[in-house]
Amino acid sequence: MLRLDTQFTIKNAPQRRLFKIITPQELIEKGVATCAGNAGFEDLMLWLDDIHVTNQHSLMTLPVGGFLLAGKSLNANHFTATTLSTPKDPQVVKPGDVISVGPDSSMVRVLYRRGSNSNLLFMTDRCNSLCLMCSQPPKDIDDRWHIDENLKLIDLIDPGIEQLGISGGEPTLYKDGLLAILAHAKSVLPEKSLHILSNGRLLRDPSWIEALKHVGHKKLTWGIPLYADNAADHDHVVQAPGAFSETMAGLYNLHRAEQHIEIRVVLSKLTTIRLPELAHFIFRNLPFAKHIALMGIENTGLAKKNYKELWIDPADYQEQLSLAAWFLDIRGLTVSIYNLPLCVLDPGLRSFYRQSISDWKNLFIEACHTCAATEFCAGFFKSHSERWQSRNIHPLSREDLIHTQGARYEIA
Amino acid sequence: MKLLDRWKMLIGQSMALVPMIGSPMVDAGQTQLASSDWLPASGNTPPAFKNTLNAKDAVNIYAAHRSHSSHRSHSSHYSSSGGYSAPRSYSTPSSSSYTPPPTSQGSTYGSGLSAPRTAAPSNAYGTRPAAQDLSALVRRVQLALMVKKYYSGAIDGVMGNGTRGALMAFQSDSGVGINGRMDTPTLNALGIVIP
Amino acid sequence: MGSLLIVKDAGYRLLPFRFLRLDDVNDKNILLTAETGEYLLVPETLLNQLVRKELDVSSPIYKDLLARHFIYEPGGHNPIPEMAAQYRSRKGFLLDGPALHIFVVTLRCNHTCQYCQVSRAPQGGAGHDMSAEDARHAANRVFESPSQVLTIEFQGGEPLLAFDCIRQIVETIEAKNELEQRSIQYVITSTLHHLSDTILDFAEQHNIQFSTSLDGPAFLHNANRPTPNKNAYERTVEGIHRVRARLGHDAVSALTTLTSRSLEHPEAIIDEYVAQGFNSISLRPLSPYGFAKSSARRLDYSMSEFIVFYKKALAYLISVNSGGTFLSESYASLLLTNILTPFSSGYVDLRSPLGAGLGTLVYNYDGDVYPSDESRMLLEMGESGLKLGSVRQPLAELLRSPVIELLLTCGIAEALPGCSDCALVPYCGADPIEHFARQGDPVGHRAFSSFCEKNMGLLTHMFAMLRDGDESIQKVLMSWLSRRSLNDLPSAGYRT
Repeated sequence: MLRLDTQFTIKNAPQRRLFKIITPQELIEKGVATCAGNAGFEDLMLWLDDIHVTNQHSLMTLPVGGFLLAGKSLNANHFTATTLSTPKDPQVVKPGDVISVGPDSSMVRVLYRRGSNSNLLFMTDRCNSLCLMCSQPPKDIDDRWHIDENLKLIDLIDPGIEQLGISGGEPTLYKDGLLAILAHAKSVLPEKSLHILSNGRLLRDPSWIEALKHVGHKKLTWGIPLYADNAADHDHVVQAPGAFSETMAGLYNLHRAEQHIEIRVVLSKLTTIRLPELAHFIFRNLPFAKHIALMGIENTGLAKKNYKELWIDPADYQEQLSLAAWFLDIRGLTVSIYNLPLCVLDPGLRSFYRQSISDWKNLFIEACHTCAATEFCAGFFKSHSERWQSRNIHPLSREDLIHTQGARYEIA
Repeated sequence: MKLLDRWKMLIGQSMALVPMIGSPMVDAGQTQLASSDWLPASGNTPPAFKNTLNAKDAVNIYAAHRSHSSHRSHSSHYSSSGGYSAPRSYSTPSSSSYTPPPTSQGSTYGSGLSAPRTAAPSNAYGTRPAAQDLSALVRRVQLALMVKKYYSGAIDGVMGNGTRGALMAFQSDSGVGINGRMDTPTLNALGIVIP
Repeated sequence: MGSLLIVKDAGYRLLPFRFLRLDDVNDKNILLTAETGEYLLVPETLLNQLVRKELDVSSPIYKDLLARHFIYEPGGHNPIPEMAAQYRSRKGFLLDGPALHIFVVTLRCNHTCQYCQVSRAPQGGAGHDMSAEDARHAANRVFESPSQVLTIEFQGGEPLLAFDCIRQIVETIEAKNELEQRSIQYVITSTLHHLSDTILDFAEQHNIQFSTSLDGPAFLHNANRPTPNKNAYERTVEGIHRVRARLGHDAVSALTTLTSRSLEHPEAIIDEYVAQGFNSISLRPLSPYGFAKSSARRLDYSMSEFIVFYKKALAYLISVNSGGTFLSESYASLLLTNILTPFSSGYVDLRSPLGAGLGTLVYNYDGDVYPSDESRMLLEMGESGLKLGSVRQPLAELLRSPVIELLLTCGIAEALPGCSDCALVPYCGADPIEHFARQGDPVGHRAFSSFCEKNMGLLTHMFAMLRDGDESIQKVLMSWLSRRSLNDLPSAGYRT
């Protein structure tokens, strides 16, 4: 998996700003239309390779925002434009990507990666919950600047069909900013579907209903976690008293606002014990959920220190998982299972399996060397470690895959 | 005795029968579920769940048996984490080129938004001054001619003699009309796409 | 003054719920049902602990009771919004208005079924047909209902004998629907003895389905439904094949009417339906209307005899399903939907508030409007008091008729003596018209009510099956609930 940032030698970058990486070829072919929204030459950073060495001088008179010298034979001296050269990892930044560059650091962040299956708009590091397994531990800072950055980012990314995530922290903490981003995305990128990850707690405020109806984004899904069928258990997992009630109220408001809702459950020792009962609760009280996502746990962030409470070998919860998944499926709700290695999953559940870990986070281990299913398997999180590994990891044979109950391996 | 009179006797009523739908509820705390025009009251109404089972709801219709067709994968490939790992050495930008809005009521983000584009998959061309568009187009033509080795001058966005000459040479070799203009056949031949 | 603390203050308080002792077979024999329709089967000791506030709050059952809305924690999570949503959804049919519109186009018929609920007029002659004028008015009434989904059912006599009337009604309704854009399904209930290519052409054009009576194999069907040539069965089966050949396999459905002779042959009846390739069967007991009431005793049987028959038939039916043939029993499927889901039922005969008038309307051949099929049959018995009015009156006026108001008074099960405390009331209904027919009183005395006996008997049987049935039985029940073949059901999933 490929990281999202790397160091460059940066010259002439007076302010932090975003750039769209573009090759001369694409500049010829599409000009600024390579960006989905309002963009000018100053937003572009021309990608120069070794093949461009003869024309380097001319090319660098183009009034673009900057240049990325990817070729080794190019030299960056004697130019006043913003220039990036000598990347630590040359695979990280590529044409089509949108990067953030500033004078304060030699790290260049990739905010949008062309061809990735998991581009997202990051809203904030702040959060109003503190889940035991939080993979993105919150910070109490004012980082509203993300909003403007995202508005600009929307203008610079590729047009075309794709799913964009919106995440954090808790995105709804900046209510106006989030609504502005949704409206702008609808205007500039109506073809892209949006998927917001939120705990839904602040949505108990009914003013969100009109506001969301007003934005009227037709391809928006809210992914909201629910960890138990009762307040005590759910509130314990998210370490926030009253969260269950607030999330339930938020879910009903989202329904009133005609939004698409996905319910997410991170599978841990705390949530698998009453997973079938949670399925029953969802069906009786939230049957309007368009999708239920049952997800393997990622051992990063706060999950590591809460190992004792959270860790359960997936092999030990397959029965609960099966009871819950089939219960919902029979009643017409859509279920998916994510973030588990395929070999650990009860073969009877393969029809719910999705190959799901973001392309920049997944890897395979030694034991996967001879496995016939790596093409279909989500693999492991890069944060994976021995003590978070199931005892049942084993390579699958082609035979195993053939005799599977109606499985369809979908690249999500 | 008429049926209704018999029934009323049986039930032991002498009450006036009032239409049940649409009359204001006596208990002040209640909200009516529907007014007399059958439409539900808006606002804080409890959600009414739509049937999720495959079976049809219609009365007396024995729905055709259908083998369950498996669901298309929901395209949420999104993992549970926030997805963003903060870079190791991160400092808040000292001077951002994006002005954070003052903390005020009401959305302050409206002003910075771009107008919706005039034509779908078009881009800024619809909202930019024409001269700027032309200059950008000329630059792309100059770049294309440079890459194809017809032109080695400055990429300055100005259709001067050097650029025109190179363009005509290209037009001649490509079999399109030799007119020194950036017409559609010429742009196509250069690989330049104008929406 | 001494005050006896009669309410012990514990961490939880009770929400309204009802309970019932199911049987003595199993220790989990107390059925608890919440206002939402959620249920739990528990031992009696637990019920005592629950009401005496002695529950162990760290136990799984405590969490189950909380999640399923039997108890709540004051100062904790407020469960009212979810309870309201479930309740509203279960009763959502109310705001839809009448969705089933029955047109009795003629009384003419060629059968002389002993249990017939309509008077039989001779086959020839149009004296008992609906007039064109009345048909036009009735079509207008249909669209005055707010329901987006409408079912138009043609009955008789034998409706095909008045096919021109059917044609007129369908065409009128289709024309109006150009503007209205409702979802409309047409059904003709017929013996299928009078099909013609013209009729089938028309049915194909307008997507009309057929519903017929098939009481069982030939000997049973013909004995129940005599015709001059004694070949009712043969001609009906021929009709079924003809409809299927022309309109598709699922264009015709069938139901049984059970006489006491039928009760002796549960397996044969089911085998007949399997042989004819049906995917659902409706095992209906006789109703107390029409000729059934005045026929010889040999037709009639007690409700408890019916229930014995039904359990046998159901067991056999489930084994047929386990063997790979999908054949659901429609009443069982309906009860499962009521028990296991928070959704509104589409079945007008088992609803509270009652379905008659509110969910269904009958336009009689003579231009009068009735709240249900059964009330029209009372007419045949000499009782016209349930007429709502004339087909020429607007719907709003018909539904303001004193008949409707009185039906409503006796038509809400949650307010009826006996029903209001019954644990099964969330899944059951009210039928003042049947109670009037059988007992002469629209409220009815629950202890003597065969409506109650039937529904209690079948509902408790379903609960016992859900509690005790093994995985293969559960899978069949789930296949009926979800209308899926067993192949798509590798597991029955979580139970209770």
